[in-house]
Amino acid sequence: MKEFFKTGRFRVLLVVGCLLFSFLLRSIYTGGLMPLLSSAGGMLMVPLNSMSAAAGAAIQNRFGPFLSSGEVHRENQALREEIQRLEEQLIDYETVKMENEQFRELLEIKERNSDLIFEPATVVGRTPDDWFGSFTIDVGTYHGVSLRCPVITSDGLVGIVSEVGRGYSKVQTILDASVSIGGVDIHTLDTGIITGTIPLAQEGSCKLGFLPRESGVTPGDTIVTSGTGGLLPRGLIVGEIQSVEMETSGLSLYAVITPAADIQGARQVFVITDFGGKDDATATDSAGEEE
Amino acid sequence: MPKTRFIVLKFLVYAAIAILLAIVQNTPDLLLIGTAKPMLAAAFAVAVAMFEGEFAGALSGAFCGMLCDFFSYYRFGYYALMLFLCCLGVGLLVQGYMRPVVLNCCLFILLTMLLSQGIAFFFLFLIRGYEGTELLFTLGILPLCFYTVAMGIPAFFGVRAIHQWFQKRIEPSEG
Repeated sequence: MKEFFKTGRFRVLLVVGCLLFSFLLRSIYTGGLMPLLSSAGGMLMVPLNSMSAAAGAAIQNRFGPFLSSGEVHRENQALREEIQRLEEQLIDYETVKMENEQFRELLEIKERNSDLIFEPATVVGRTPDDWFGSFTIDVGTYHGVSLRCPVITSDGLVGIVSEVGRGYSKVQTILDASVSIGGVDIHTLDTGIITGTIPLAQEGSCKLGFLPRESGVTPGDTIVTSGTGGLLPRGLIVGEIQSVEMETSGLSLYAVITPAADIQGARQVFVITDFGGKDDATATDSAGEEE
Repeated sequence: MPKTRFIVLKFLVYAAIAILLAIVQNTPDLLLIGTAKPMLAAAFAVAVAMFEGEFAGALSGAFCGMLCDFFSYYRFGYYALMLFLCCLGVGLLVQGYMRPVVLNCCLFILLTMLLSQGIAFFFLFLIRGYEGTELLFTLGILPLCFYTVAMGIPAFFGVRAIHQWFQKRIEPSEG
């Protein structure tokens, strides 16, 4: 083995190792702005994963019953072709239906928030190490997405963009312990910080922390984003309070929130690329500071 | 010349399989058991390092790591660096001290996963003092590691079959 460290191969590997380390440092330094290599790789991987995600969803939704009737398919070729033709029509129908639903949701949100600018996106990847339900979507800087853009469904807030490449972005959800968002109870107007914790993330919940001890928040109250700091628009629905607990320090309360959006199961989302009162400078600074 | 052609072809096959495995591992809801999914590309990289030696193993580790990085929770380049180093170590150990058998493959995959996940866990969660980190380790990281080890068994036999198939065609031309 000692001879290996004197060979030219070792020197090549040393250079490769240094390059990889510099990629990692650059990725950390730029605060989630993907280096050229990852963006180029993403252009290859995202369409492929997009296809596999769509195929997986189609199989799960539609083809399960057909796959179990293989004998019938083999026995009657004509019927098989007919079924195949119908399935193709069904896929077209499903695609149109999905798009229609997506646009209807978009319209619904748009009516509620006229100043928001949306970019529809599809969830194309969920990595094995997504401890907090994080995922990858098929839109990036090319579509106007930038760091810390909010990601929502028609039901409510899902998370924020944590890394962005040219054609894809990674989303950190509100279940993530490293995400902090200003939130407000619409009934009592008490404000706090929405963040995730590891135990709550296992149950699919997050919390509204730093509530004053005399706060009047009660289970069933709706929590929306406060919009302070210009990072997120005001009034995005986050979820409903499940319970109110005392922090271990005893100095403040926190409320356990059940998110309105289906975070673990989301397939179609919307990225809010711009909104009234957005502070780009603050957003960039915050992203940098967080890293 | 045929030897070079077969060597190039072998690594193209490895690259294609690695891309396929990366796509499969990142497809939503696929291979999901409970909340755990395996890191197929990482298991594959370790298996390749066992058969192809430290140089090719380290490079394949870097390649598979990058494929994992595209969708990973961690920063881009983390898995590339970790798998590069782990596969280099695996390659050196197999060349000098250990045999390329399935049990050793499982051991190497387990160590690779524990090391890569353990370092990230330490710096991203444990050191920051988040509550319930033990839950993350026991319910998140350990299932991921063991599931990946389990998927490493077919990866080992697959890589061995590919390696032997190409080796039969490469070796005669050496003589």
